[in-house]
Amino acid sequence: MNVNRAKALSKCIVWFKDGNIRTFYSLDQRNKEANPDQAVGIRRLEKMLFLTFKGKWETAIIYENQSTGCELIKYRNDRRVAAN
Amino acid sequence: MQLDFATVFSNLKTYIDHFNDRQEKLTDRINSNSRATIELIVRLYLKQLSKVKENGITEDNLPGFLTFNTSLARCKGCSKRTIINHKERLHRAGLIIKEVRNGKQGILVWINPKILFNHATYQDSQTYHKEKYGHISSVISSIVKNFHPLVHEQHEQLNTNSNVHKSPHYLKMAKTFENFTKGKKNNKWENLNEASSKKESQKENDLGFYKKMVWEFWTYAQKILYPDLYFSGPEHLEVLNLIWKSVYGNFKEPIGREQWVAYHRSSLCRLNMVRQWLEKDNNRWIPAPHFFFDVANKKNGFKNTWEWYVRRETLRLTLRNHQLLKKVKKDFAGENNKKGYQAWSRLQLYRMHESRLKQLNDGSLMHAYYMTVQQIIKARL
Repeated sequence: MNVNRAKALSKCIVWFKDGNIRTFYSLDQRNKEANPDQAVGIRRLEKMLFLTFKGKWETAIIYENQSTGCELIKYRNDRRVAAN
Repeated sequence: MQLDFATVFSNLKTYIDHFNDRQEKLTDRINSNSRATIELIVRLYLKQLSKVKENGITEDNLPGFLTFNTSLARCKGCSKRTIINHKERLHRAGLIIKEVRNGKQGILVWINPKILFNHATYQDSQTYHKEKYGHISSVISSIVKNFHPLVHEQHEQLNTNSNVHKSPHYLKMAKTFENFTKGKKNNKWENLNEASSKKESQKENDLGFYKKMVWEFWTYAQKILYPDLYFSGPEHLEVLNLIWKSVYGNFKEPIGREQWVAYHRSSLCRLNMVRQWLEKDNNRWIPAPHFFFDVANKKNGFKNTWEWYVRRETLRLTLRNHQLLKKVKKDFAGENNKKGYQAWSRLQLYRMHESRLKQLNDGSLMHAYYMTVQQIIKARL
């Protein structure tokens, strides 16, 4: 299933150790017919950080995917820290 | 001509600072990563030049810096693509004037000779600021402490989320609670004007009462089971909904408020039991809340604690009954000297204990009491 940037409920900005910065968008549906669930999307982004990019990033922040979306979760050095 | 490391690096710094000050867009500036790349290139280039005879180096006849993108990437600890991107940015800034690619033989990079030969006659950044903004900037810069940003400033600016860093955690929690208590938008009791009948207003009150209980349960669970974890708003909502379903069974049981409060207390007791179970051994763990409070989790979910609770309560009641019956036996045997029970007749003692035990509303206890009295009488006869 492809991630639709416009429909994604949250996005994750990752600051990699090599200096790169990338933005990832969440996939919020459990299946094609299911209603979107933001918590599912957040968990998938977290899984990506801790499994796919394990040890490669320094900071990651998950935001609501809106123009005025607020910060949801912040990760620093493989740990979840209090969001501002 | 001899090239001095210190001079070259101070020239480089001045050049970059001045260049950054002139850029209106943050994206056009040279960020710290690109700065690190050019510093690496310059350092290696100077090392390479030191091997060439001193007389051979002139401003017009400067040899290029022979290198490979991959070796630079390995040296800096980043990808090859990053080095290429940085070089493009440095070329735009005028720090790299020319680049020749020789395939497998590497690349040749020419650095701006102004940096190498002390021709960087730009003003330093402080003088530049003074001229541009006057004394105000110096006053501001002295007051405001320059904190090292968590991420590079440029990328912070690129982020379009305007209200970042403005909503504290407790406000978010309050917002989540508000969302949770409001429920879905199409709730028929949400619009108070329409909820005119008594039945609907009662439902509304009940809903508020239930949601408050669930919220209290989750707050307590979070405090004792997940003290080190931070949760976002959507995660809070998800767990609250799961608790509503799994712990309280969607409040479908037709029981009164008092009974619900009693059940709520028992649920909090179950949380305490889980905490005690965790404290007994450091190797014990519980899953994340979205899984722990899931209805479908039969393996290690919160549902299983109901058995613990029933077992504990049964044991507690058994012990209590045992103690009470022991006391009854003592009184009948005349061993209890308190309150002058010795002067009482057996019938008086029987009635007194019966009325006392009946207050506990325990059928099994009463049955055991009658059996005990029978045994005592039989033994006397």
